[in-house]
Amino acid sequence: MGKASSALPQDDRKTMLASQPSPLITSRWFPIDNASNLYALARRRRWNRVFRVAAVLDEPIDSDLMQQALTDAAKRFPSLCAKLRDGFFWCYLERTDETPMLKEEDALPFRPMPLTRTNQPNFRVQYYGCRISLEMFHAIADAPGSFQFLASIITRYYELKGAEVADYKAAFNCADSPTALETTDPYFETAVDCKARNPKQLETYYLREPSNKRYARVTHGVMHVSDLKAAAKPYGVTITEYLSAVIIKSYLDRAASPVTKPIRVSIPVNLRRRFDIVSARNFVYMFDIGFDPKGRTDVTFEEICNALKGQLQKKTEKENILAEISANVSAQKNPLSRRVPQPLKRLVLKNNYKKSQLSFTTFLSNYGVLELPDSVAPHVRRAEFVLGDTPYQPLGFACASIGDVLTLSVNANTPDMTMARLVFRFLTAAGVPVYIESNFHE
Amino acid sequence: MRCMQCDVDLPDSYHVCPLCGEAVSDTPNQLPIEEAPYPDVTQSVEADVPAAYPNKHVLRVIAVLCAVFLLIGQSTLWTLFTPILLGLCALFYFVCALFEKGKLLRSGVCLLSTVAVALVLQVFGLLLRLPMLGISLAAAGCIAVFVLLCLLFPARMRAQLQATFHA
Repeated sequence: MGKASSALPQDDRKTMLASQPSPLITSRWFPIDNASNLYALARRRRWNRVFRVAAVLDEPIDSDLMQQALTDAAKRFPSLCAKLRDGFFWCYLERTDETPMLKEEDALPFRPMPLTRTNQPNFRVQYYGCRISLEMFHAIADAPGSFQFLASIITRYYELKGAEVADYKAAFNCADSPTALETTDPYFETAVDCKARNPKQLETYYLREPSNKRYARVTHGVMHVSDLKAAAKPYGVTITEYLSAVIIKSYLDRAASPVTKPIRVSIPVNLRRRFDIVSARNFVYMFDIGFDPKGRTDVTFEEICNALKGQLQKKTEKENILAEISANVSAQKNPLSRRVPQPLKRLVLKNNYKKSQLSFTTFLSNYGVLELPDSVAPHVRRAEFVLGDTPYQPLGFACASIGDVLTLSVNANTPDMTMARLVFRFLTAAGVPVYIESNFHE
Repeated sequence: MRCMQCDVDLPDSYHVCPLCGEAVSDTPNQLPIEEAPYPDVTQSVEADVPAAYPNKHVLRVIAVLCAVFLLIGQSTLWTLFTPILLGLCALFYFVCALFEKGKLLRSGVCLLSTVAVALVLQVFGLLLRLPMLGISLAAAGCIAVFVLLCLLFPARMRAQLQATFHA
């Protein structure tokens, strides 16, 4: 399924897959994609890699109508309506026919999700007041795939309310059939033959926060994109680079002693546009950008911006991305690794996951702009994107925007709000007005 | 509401700034943003993850007992304990699975795995010159049930085997 071993050139094959109906409509199971192996095998009973995408509507949600919208949208995304299963050699995803249930939110975000012992798909759709949220297990889809799903649910909701939609933009029309390209493994489709590489653990400044596994403190900072752009402009950096620089500066300001190791921020890059693939599964790759203060305490913000400028652009050149994903695909295709039983793979991959997590200081994921149909967009006040914690990274930053409204969300499983405070105070001092909201407040 | 320490806008319902913990001021907000509250939960409810899989612990105990019986067993009678335990284990899973078709098929694969374990034990038994009659009987029984499942649900069983053993 979706193997790049086809004799057709890649572009022709993509065109062919885009015109074919998805085989998942009839298939009971399908292999998980290349990136998902890590999330599936690194999971623990009380922790799995989950992230959350949400949208705040302009009126309280009608739960019956939203359930109908969810049911209709779920049929359009067969690769998402699946649950994880352990195979002998690899994990795989089994399609579930059970309708995903919309529930009223009644607990903290990022509760561990039942993955294998459930008939529900490995995601959770909840509503509370005006907010509709989708918590997704990363082995099923990435943030852009999840935003596509969320946008489709919201669009369907307004269609059921009588809105007419001409251009669906990021949303999918629930009346269409899923194509093979949407549900195939995009890493296998794009990878070229090359040698596998062992992951290296880079020397990185790593701040071990006191964490509480049953504690998810989400803080949203809402601001205008135009204000943020104006603040980034004098430094000649993009919004992602600017926010990375703010985070690095906050880490430096927080450090009790001089920082001698590089501070690295891991940034997932959406590969869909670069490789012209419409996928509802995972298709991102993590790159990191960083700054080495070399023990200095007089580092200026401008210095950090100058060091970060162009780093991400250089790392995400098409050839570099292709080399990275091809190496990972080669490791998966390796005849020896293919025949190693899954429990042994789990031991190796858990270690690799730990290495990769300790190779950077924190995450920053910038989804970009959520584009909704013209008749739906005015009803959505803001889009939110929150990263779940990992056993090694108790703190994560993520942002998403809709129109001119950007929400930077900080998730921490620690009561210490120093990092969030430093980041938001820096932004307000730079002339970006910020509105703060949190799930923990008095 | 605003926090004058952090210089940020806050919803009207907030009394304390979530960033610094200081009391908020009545000053009007700079940004015209409406509050989207979260449920008032400060303690995580028990995760909706099912309790540990009971079969898993049973299987672990049985695996250890099998190994012990195999090591101390010096006669055919002793080795019968190992297949009896293996068979009970497979039967336990099989009965649990009767209520769900998908699980029933996976139990077929579980029986196949039991055969594999029995074969490994056979090899050890041969190397250690232990009598292996009981294990042979257990393996034969498991194969019989597996074949029966394949005959009853051929297409689903083929798909299940493909899924479990895909490389």
